[in-house]
Amino acid sequence: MKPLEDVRVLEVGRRLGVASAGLALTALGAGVVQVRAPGRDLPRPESAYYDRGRTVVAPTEPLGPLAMLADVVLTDLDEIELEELGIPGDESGLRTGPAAQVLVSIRSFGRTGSHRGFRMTDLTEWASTGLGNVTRRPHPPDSDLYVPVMPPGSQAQALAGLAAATAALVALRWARDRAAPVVADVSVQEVAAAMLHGIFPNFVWNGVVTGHPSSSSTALGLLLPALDGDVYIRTLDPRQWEALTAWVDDDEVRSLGADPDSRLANNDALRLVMGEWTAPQRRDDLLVEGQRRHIPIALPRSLDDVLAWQQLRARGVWGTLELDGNPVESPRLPLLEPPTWRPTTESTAEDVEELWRKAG
Amino acid sequence: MSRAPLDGVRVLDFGWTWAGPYCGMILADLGADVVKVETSQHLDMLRLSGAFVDGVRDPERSGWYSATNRGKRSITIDLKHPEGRALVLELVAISHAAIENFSPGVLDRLRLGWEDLSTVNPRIVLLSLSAYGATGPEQTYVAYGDHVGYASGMASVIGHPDDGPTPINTFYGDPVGGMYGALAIVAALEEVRRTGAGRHLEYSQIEGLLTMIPGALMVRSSGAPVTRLIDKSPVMAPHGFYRCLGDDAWVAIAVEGDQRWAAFRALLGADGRLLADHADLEARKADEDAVDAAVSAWTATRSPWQVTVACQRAGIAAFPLMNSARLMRDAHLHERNFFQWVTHPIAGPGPLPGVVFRIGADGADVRGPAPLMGEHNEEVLMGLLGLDRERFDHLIADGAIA
Repeated sequence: MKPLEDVRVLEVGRRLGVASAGLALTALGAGVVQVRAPGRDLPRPESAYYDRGRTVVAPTEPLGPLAMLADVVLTDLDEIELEELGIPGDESGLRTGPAAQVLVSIRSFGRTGSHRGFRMTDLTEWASTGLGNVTRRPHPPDSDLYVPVMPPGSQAQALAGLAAATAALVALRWARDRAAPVVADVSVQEVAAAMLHGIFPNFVWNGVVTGHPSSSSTALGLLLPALDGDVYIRTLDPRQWEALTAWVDDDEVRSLGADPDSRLANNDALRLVMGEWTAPQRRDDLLVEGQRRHIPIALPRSLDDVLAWQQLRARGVWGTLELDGNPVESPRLPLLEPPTWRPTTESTAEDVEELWRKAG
Repeated sequence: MSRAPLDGVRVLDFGWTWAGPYCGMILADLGADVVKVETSQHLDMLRLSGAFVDGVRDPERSGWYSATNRGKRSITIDLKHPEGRALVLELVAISHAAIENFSPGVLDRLRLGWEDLSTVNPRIVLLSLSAYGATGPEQTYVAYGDHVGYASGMASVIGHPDDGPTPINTFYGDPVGGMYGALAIVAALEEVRRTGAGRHLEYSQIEGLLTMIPGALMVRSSGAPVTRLIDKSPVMAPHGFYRCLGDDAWVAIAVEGDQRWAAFRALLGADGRLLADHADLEARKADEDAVDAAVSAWTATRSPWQVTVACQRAGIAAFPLMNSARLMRDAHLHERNFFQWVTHPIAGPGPLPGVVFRIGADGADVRGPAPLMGEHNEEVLMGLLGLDRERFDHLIADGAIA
């Protein structure tokens, strides 16, 4: 899929979100010029993954002419920083008419509002989204105190990158339809907070703050011990629960989980009873038999398990990238992965400008 | 309001539970006419997922369903019924995209798979989302958004090295899939505009989550260990969640670089809390437990917001750990009209989490409440497909519209 083959993107930023959006647009065929702003510090593996396929231009060069020729400017810089680089920070500086331009801004709190000037990092962004409140571990182990933890991978930024790539496509379509420039405003906080569909209603209608240690909904399903690891089971459809109870064949399980509310309220008790049943069994056997009965059961996998997993091998999920001079496996982009990636190259703003002008 | 960005785009949303409908929601917010195809014969489980308005377990009162299906139209068709299938194909002929997240093979068995849809409409874009993907030895396995968090390895890299698997405790794989799907559909629609050829997009939620932790997978693939960092950072210290005064009150603080460390020391020093004079990151990391204890002692007497304001004034990254209550009270989100109050005909007025991103002033918007089941049967099947009253009534009596 190469729908952006004649689209030029100027990507100027520091954080992973901009790089992630730039990667998606590159995969879709856009010619993306990447300017790595001072202070950019993507870790090496992430840079190897997210910075693919670009033409890299140094931030010391005047970028105004490139900004004038680009179809999309993708950035996480604020208006003042953009102005210093000669890049328009709002609609008034963007091209109008049939080839109207788009500015996609990715910022921790968006382009407006009282927090927009806050200094933020991956950690504080994760805290700001609400997802941080439902990502916790008991500490000390077996205590009732659940402390927040942070997942790797700059999750909030990565989500914002997906949103920003979509925003760029939609905004470009809209700008060209209306012959007027469009600014897309991507707030990292909002992209993630927009996902809290199972969490906000619980507060609005029940007064329950999901993720609070007192909330029984801290646990979604049953993480159970097996002979050689863990298994995870959660049923949704009543028929799945019936299949599970028929399989386990234990009156106490039937009684504790008579209906969805009981299952939630009795989660801890169910975990103990079910755990006694799973503990002497091998987890692969539980997986195969459970799935044969159409019960949603999964194996929590380590990274080694994932890298060796036949299901993923059979689907050709892995590509090869270079990390510190050595080939490593990396996950292909679902839905977007191009047949080949153009190598990342360095260039000058002047050369890119000439190339873009020649192409018309 | 001006024409919306996806005005004129019609999407058939066969999605159920969360991943597929989340994708449809993004497209509906952008102005697409998203027609949710559901059936009373087998309810969308999201309609049966709480919280329920006024505590009544009712398919029309699910807050979750309301948030995910806002702004869509609902029609009820039994896909197993021959005339129901025919209606669907008539709709496919006048649609631009379709979304489904049934188990792989279900639509094919209903003779509504890619071959069937693209025969009727060669320009259609079909997005199929599933947990494990539509091919491979485990393609038939049943899973939801939380299962894929465990299966993808993501839960294995969160938390403390001694912990069991620690997930992001919402059904994270679902909205991630919905976001990938929306991006791919918009891209494919653009391709259709250029080439005239439709496309079948096939997505595995597990594979989507792999791309949310590519660095960890690449490092492990190289043979190097991947350390679970709890809330710590190899390049910043202090860095973490610190307990504050109050019930389950926490603040995240991340001190970047030596200058900000100096500012942070000065900030705590002004409050009578002395932090050791560590010259660089290496020294701070070596003494991290003691530094964290001192920071915790400082935050323990303050609210998360007090700490945030003090740190931000000093140029230090900090923010409260937000939960649903704090987010709904957050002035910044209200200034940006993030929460959208919509009035549902049964549930009444209530706030929904807002759009995923903004396009201009009004290009993305929550365009209405979630539909009642079959609310738009007449509007779509008679108004759009042109069925006459006699055939419409016959299809109801015969069970095709159900």
